[in-house]
Amino acid sequence: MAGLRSLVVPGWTKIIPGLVFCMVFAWIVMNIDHVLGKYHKADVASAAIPALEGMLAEATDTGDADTIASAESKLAKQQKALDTVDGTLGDTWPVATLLYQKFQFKYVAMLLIGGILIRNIFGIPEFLKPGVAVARPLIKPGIIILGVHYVWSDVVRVGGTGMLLAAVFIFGTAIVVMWLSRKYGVSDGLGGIMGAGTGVCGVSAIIATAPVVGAKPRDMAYAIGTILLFGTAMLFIMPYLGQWLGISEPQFGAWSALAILNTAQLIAAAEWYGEEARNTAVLINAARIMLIPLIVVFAVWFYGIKGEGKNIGFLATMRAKFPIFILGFFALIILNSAGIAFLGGPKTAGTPLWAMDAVYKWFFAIGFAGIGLSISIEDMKKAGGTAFAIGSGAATVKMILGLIVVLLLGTELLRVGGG
Amino acid sequence: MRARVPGRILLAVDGEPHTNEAVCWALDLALGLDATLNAVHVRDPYLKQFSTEIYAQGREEYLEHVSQCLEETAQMARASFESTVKEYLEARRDAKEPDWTFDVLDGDPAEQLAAHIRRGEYSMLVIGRRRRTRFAALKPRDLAERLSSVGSSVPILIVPEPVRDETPTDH
Repeated sequence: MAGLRSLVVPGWTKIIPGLVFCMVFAWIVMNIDHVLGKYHKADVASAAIPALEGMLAEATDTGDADTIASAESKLAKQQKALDTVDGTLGDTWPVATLLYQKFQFKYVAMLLIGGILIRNIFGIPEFLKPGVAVARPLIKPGIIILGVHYVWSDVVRVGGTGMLLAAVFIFGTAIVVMWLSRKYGVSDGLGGIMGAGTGVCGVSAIIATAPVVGAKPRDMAYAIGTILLFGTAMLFIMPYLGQWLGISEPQFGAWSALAILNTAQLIAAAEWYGEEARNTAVLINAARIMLIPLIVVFAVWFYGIKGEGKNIGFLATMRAKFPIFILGFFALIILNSAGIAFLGGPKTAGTPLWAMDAVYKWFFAIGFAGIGLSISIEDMKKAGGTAFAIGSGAATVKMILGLIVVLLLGTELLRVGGG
Repeated sequence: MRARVPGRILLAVDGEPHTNEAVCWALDLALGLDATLNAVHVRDPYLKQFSTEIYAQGREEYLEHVSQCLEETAQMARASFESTVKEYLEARRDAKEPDWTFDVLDGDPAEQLAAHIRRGEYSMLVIGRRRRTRFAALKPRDLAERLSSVGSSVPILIVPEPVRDETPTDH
């Protein structure tokens, strides 16, 4: 019994209402997304079928077997999409296409925007808050499961490129921010958390760095407010900007992983942009978050911080600040790369890896519900002071430089093949 | 009918220099009206909520750091209050020290202070206010404004931070 009790989180009953609320919210939105996607596909199919029938007739006349096979396969797929909504040729669902394709109103957007509206218009009752806070980290199991989408060649090519880019961007940002902060008389505490926060992964990095550099509460509030403000602004601006610029999904994934200041928002933006964007962003972000302990070590060295009771040596910092869960992500990449027959793969129906892949989106959905419901405009309004000046400068420079770099690298180097 | 003369004055302090002016005003009122002064500092656990950020590492250390900072700020607020009281009384040798208490509360400052006022134990609130830059004017309401908008049933004296190089107010 004692062993079982040790597995139970203290105060777990307080978590239940908020977590259930997030699950119900995610379930409703996922169903809306499913229905909207279904009608959008039917709308596209209704428009595409006549053209495909024409192509099939033309190919039949010329006897082009390859074209016939291709047209028949496409026609069957489109007919299936139309049948799913009991539609007939000529039916149209323009609103579904407008929302789903033009406005990209998918489950990520619905959860985030819906969550923000609920939080800031109606507010979250106190009894729901603990569970909502716990819902956010549920993205982590989703990330671990996403490991089944990669093979080692992806890790070496995309992850290697990402690690190099992340290292340059992270240390470049941190060094410049900390140096400029010191030059202009900003306190070590604020300079340290802003260097780490704008360099690595926003609030997560601030939490890792704040105790080490001795950041003051007001500075932390300013810094977190600033990171959330720019992270949220980028979350909603970058996907549309990416579409407008016509950049590919893998390029967008890399761009968001380099430029969006906060992790939650970067995963949301990439998932929103598309599957390939998300695959690239998650892999580069895995490289990025592994650098959290190194940036803390750098801050200790840069500010000449002495221990004074704190264990801030290299190994102790690596142990305390390393994101252990990311090892689970790499373990699944190893399993997927090993080609073990009974494990199957994410696209082989009925296999263990397929089953795992089927649930990742639910972890993401509940996590995004938690993120949306946690985005408080009041928190973002706390952005201010020197932190705001540093954050706005770093955000703008990283966005522009990140875009230039991914445009120069092209799509193929950043595309995750998944075996 | 509610007594209009303050019997107990609630004073909100945060240990920041701009609060000192409010402390002096509260002492003036307490002495002039023979009222009891209750200084209150509220430890706001706002920053703790971010420990659940998805990739946060070293959560325990962060929470300990925030708690320690809040405790230090509370101690600083008390020390600053006591020091201002001492300086005030030294400057007015004929003044008798008013009855005062110092309490530390936990929670959202506006909610805690409003709850205190609602309990009807106080007949007046004195609070300091930092000078706001043009940028800050675009930002959310500060504590003083939030308190005045929660439907306070007692008068609120908002004491602005003196402008730098300005001769201090003669109390």
